[in-house]
Amino acid sequence: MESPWRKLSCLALMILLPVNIFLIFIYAPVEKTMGIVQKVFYFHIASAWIGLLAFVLVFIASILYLRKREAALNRLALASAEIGTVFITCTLLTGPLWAYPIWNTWWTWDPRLTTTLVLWFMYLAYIALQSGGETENRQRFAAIYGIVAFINVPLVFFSARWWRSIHPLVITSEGMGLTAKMRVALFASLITFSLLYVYLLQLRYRSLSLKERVNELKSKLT
Amino acid sequence: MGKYLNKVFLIYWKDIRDEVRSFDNLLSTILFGVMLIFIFSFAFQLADLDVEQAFSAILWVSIFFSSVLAIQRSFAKEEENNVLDGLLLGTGDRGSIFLAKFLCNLTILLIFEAVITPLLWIFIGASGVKASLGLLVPALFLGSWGLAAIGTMLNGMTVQLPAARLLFPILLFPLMVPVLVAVIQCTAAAFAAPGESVAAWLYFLASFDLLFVIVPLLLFDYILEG
Amino acid sequence: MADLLEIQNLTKKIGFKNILLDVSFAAQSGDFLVVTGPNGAGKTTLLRLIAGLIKRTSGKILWNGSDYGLAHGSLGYISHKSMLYENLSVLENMVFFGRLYEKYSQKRIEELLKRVDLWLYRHEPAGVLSRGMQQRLALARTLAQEPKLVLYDEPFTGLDLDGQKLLRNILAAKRQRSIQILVTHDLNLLSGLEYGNIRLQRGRVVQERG
Repeated sequence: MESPWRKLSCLALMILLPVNIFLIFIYAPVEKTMGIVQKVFYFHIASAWIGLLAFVLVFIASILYLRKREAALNRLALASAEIGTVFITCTLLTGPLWAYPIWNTWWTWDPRLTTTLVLWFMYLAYIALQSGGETENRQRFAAIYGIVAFINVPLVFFSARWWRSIHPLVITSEGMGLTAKMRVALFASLITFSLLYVYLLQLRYRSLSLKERVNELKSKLT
Repeated sequence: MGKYLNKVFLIYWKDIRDEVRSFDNLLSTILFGVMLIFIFSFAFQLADLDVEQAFSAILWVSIFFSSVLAIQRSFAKEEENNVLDGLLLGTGDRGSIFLAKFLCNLTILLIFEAVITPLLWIFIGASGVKASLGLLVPALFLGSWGLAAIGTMLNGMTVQLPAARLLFPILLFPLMVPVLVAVIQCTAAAFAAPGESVAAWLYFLASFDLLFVIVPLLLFDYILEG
Repeated sequence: MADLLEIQNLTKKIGFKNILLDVSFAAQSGDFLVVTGPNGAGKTTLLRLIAGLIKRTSGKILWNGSDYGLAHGSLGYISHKSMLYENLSVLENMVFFGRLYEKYSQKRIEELLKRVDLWLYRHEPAGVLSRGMQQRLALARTLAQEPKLVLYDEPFTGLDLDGQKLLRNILAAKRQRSIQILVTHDLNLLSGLEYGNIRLQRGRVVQERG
């Protein structure tokens, strides 16, 4: 039952995670004006990246599900959506932590923030659609929603950005100068988080498969 | 093609007739909308906020909420006696059912808006302000189009799920964000002094509308698969 | 011209459950097949698959040699649900579905409504009719469509003795020109009719006699 990939990614994570923490907190210098709070940025960007990556996987798995109708593909999409939700939640939580001391506000309707929030809503809607019984209907509808929601993401971003370009924001997140060392730490974060995503995806996929297997055995017994 | 449109129109006309016959349904939706704009504009007055500027926001929040009531009924008629099966056997195509339902929902939304928009205009006491109908009407039309298209698609799904009434708005609203942004810009501009052009937003809305008629048409086979 | 319906290795799986497994049979105009079996044997699923209302997992359904996805024009389906609009009157239902199936004729509708004893009720909304009357209206609607393949799912449900007799007459009359497949659990109601029998159990054909 143990897949070699899961062991491998687990092992790699055990090495990469401490290395990443070292790079973020010790190797990369403290930002001059923002201070220590800037460290949250490495987690924030990496979680947002995983949130998007997970959504791409939901999209692809949904298309494949509609074509092949294999429950495994639906499980993959669901697992990815659940993990994506967790990471987007991290993004939404870490954002204000940084924004409050720097921008002096918890929240602003910046296009990126708006899109992230809408993405989070769509993830939750997707999961709500899937919860409440693993019927064929629900799986099919979830796949359709996964596709439509994905098409919608760039539209949300575009409309929010366009609106902001007409009513310009006082605060911008531009001009965040990164030193070479900071870039290394950010890059390491992206890799580590991606690996963490892959590892969690395998775990969740396996647990969903086992759940299905239990249901199958149960139905055979009765 | 002619046959196809004929069937779309046949189902559309049947739905409209059914709406007219069960007029109390439409009436409750309109009444709900009226209540919403009343509560919003009154609450704004009570809080001593500038209600005139909130016109487009109040209008569209009310339309969004009421549309949930209006659109959620669209497939209910077919659920009753499995009539959907009869429709499928007759049309041999699921896209035509989507188109008919979509047009019906669009019609209902437009009727609804024709009532509440002037009423809201009176409520907020903006009688002095000149509205540009040439901008307001397209904005209402394009916004309702998007709402009807996505709503019809989602209702086709939720109607087949047990206890999914609450699911419908949860699925609908995130997908409607681009429409909300665009339509509020257009509506606000209709009441503002001429100057800022919102033509680009209207184009954006039109492309959104087109996209979300084509996507459900392609996917509706999967939705009504049974 | 005789029509031919061929079902080959039809399989429907939902999740890991086999609803139907490897069902094969063929029928041609004049055939009357009765599908029997215990609850959950897959009878209704079989009819809905043939009607094209649900998607099959694998297998083929051939109508005169060609596979079809969704229902074709010459297919009539009577389910135990009436498939009628309750808010529309009897006549409006007939006209709407007649137009939808491209078989609209005022004269034929009148003739059929008289045959199923509903002409007097033509202006009543279908919703106020009794269960049996709705079932008769459903019969008339299907007949108006002049189907060459008729699928009946428990059509006797709710019919009174007269209705049952009417249905038996219709079954006998439609016999020469069409293929009829009927699902029932009560063969007694078909006494006096000749039919081939397919018995389903847990999604498999366990007995075929025709």
